[in-house]
Amino acid sequence: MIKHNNFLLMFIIVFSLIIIHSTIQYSIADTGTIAVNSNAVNYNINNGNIESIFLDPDLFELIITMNTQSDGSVEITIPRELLDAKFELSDDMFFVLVDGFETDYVESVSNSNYRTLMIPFFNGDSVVEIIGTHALNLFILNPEIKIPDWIKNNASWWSTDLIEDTDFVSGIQYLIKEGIMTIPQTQSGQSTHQDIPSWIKNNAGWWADGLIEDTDFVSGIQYLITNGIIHV
Amino acid sequence: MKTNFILVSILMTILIGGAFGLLLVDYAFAQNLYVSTNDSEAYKKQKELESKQAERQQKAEEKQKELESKQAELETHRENLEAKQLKKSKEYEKKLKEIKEKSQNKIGKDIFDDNKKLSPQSKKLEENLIKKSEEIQKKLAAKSDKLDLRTKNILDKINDGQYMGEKINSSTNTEKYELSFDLVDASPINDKLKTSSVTGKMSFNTYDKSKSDLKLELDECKIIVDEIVYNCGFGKARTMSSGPSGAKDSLVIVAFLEDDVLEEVHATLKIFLNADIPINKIEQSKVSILGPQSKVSNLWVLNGTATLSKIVSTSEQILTGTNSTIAHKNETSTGDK
Repeated sequence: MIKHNNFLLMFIIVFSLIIIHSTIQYSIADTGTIAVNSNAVNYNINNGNIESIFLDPDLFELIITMNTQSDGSVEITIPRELLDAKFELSDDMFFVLVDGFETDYVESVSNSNYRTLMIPFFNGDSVVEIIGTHALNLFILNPEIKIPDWIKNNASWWSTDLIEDTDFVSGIQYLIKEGIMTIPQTQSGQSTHQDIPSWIKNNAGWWADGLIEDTDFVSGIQYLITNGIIHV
Repeated sequence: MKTNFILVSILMTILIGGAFGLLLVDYAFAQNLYVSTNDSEAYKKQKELESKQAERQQKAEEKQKELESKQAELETHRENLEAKQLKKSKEYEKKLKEIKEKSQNKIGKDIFDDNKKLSPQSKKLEENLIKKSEEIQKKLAAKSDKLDLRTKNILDKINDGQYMGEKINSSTNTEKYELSFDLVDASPINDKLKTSSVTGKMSFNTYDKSKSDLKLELDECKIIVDEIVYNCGFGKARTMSSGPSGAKDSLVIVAFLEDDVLEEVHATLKIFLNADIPINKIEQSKVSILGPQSKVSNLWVLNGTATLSKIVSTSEQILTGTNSTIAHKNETSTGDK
């Protein structure tokens, strides 16, 4: 009798485990973070699991591959640095395709660092494409920055206080306006009466001595522009 | 005496020469020291530069290695994605074959029935007839119970006026753009060696425009891929920058397609195109349709060249016409005076 009871108990346990396992399979929820080009992309998927998330910079697309067990949705948090959709300076919608079909989505969170999208899918769907307008492209090594050598003299004089801040700034303004110095697109900040930080002066000196790259010097100039110290 | 004088003279010469020589040596020594101090500073700077250079070189090499590994990773991802799409395309292949047969039968039957009624000219006219997206939308709405949820949701969004997103600029000046497929090939996703031609055109109205950005709303289209005619239900396009220059010389188009004959096949057309100049500066220009990013859902990959043209809006023409009429009238009245 005891043996019989034990057998029954074992059967109930095994049966319960099978039921629990199958239930979990059909209401699977997967949450996690995947590093995409050193940017953390958070996801939360119902009724499926994520296989991979990667950025195709040639396509301006963030691509999610997944396995789905039934209809569900995937919530994805995209760092703006990785992929963003802008019309001029305003946020614009992403174009979202699920298994090649345009799909409506809900943008649940949007702040200065990231945007969170909730995208529905059908059972069997396996690829989500999120198309933006700006994508991080690691494969563009050197943005084209061409600065004539004679400007280095200016920078050198300024770093040793031979010329005033205003002279240096007006020189840079002239060069940018005339297109002699090309800098990547930079958003101009509000005008302030801030002094030029000393590190930029050091940068200028090092740049004149060939100790730092043109790109490093330009990033200093971009800092001046975005912080409203120089106006172009 | 003479000998002594000579000896003293020689001795004096040696002494003076020695003293002078010592001075020279001293000076030379001092000068050497001076040079060596200078050298030491230059040497330090040189060393510093060399070490910075080496550091930079090392960093560049590391970056290169990192990029190579990233590129390899990206290639693996792309291959996996292709495998996934291939799997899907097999599901669609049967359906498409069936639709193609049905549509060919229907076209054949229609041609047979109407053969005597239609003149060749009117047939040509029918071929050129492009259906407005609004018409297709109405038709789609009428059979909404047969549509899948994602198409229904987008139709709802169109009705709510949210499909195109927020309009940033309030300009009411509408420009029209037309994209004609000149030499575009379509390869089935599961057989890239096979190619079919893509013909037809799409036209768009400006939805929003700024100094550099442009957003377009699809107005009408007719696309023929592998002999199957498609109309567009809705769609949109937006400019992007293809490179680091920031020039908006690329356009991404997304459009809903429905086959023209049976109205059963629904797909999404996605086109990435590149131009040599910013899109909003184009009057008429050849553009490259980029594959594999350009495709029709899980069916075709598109690749080739097309022509993008800006068409002067009818309202502008009317306005210009009105102005010229006014000018003409003014001239007349001045003449009368």
